[in-house]
Amino acid sequence: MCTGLEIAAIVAATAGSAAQYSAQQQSQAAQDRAQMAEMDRQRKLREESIAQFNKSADAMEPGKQLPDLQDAVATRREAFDRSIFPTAGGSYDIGNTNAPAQIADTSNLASAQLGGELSRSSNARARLEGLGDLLLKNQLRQAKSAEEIARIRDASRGSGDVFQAENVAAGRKGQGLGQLGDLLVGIGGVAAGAARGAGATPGTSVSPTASSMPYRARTSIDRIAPTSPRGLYSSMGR
Amino acid sequence: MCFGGGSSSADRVAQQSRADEEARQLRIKEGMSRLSSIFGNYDGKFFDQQRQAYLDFAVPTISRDYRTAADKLKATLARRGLLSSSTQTKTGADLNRQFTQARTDAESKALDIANQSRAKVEQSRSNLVGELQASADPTSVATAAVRQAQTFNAPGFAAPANAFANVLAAFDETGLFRDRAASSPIKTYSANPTAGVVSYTRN
Repeated sequence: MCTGLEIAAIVAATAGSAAQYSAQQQSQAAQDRAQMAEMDRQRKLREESIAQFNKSADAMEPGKQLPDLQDAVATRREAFDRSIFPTAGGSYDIGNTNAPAQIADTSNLASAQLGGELSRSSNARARLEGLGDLLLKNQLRQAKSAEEIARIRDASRGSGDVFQAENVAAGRKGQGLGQLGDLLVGIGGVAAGAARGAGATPGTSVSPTASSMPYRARTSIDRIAPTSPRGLYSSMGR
Repeated sequence: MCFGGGSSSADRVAQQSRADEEARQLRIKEGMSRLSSIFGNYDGKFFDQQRQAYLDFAVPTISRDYRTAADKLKATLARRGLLSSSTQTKTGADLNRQFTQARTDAESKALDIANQSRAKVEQSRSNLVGELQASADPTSVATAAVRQAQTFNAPGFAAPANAFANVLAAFDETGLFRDRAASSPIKTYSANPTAGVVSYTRN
């Protein structure tokens, strides 16, 4: 038969354990929420970073590089065409109206050959240097993209650092309830001790302590443990 | 109440940390925007002005050297009675080839100078972005950007070498046609496109 003190001990210990459990649940839920929010932020940043990378990579596709290369070559060619004699303003006439016919023919031929040679050479040079211009353009574009990705990475790192503090704060959610639970479990332990001291039957009493160990588990241990040296000796046949 | 005091304190720390981090990211974005605005002045037009500035500087020198070389060549050929000869045809073609080569080199170098300017400006902007991310201080970075931007406006160019010395070398008995560039002082050029000032100085 339970005394009033024993009942009070059981009620206090049960209420304490329930409060501790609820506090743990609150803390876990808060940590889960904080983690979900951080995961969401990190996911968005990751998507932003991937989109930036894809944008940069898309610009490198042959379909987009070819028009860029053509533009770069055309710019160089246009510049070089301005330099080709006689467009560029060269004034030295290699022909001479007073020259004998054979010399004049040679002169005209040389002029024509020179024009063709210079035009071919300029085109080749434009193709070569135009590629260099395109590579520079790509390099600058990629550097800018890498810069943006670095900014996103920095934001991700910053958010991760803040999450540490948020996780600590979430871990402390329900701390008040947990402390109340500890107190009740402690009171239960004291009450049980007092009940035992008042003459409760050995082996049947509960003996909760002020720990966070679940109530049922503790009573099982108590049943296994000997309640008095006499009981131990009698079980060994002495 | 004595229960739960640590929880609210940790909450305040976490909320403040999050607010600080969001403010930091905002300052970085603001700084990036200010950098874009400052460096936005260095667009295609600016770099084309750089290209044209070099041409304005180099082409008159090349043309002058060309005319001088052509006059000397004509005089030398006349003195030797080689006007209207195949020698004149050949040397004239060589001279014109050298002229085109020199002009093409100048055009190429002008584009290279524009590219170099573009790379320098981008490098500078990129360094400032790095500083901004480390400091999250858009004001000081914007000040540094304006200071750095002023240095982009004063590039130095070396005068092109005389491209026609080789054509005249065959007739150079007196040493008069030696390469002018060897003894010529270096000319420097400075331009400030934003102020519309173009100036040449001979050292």
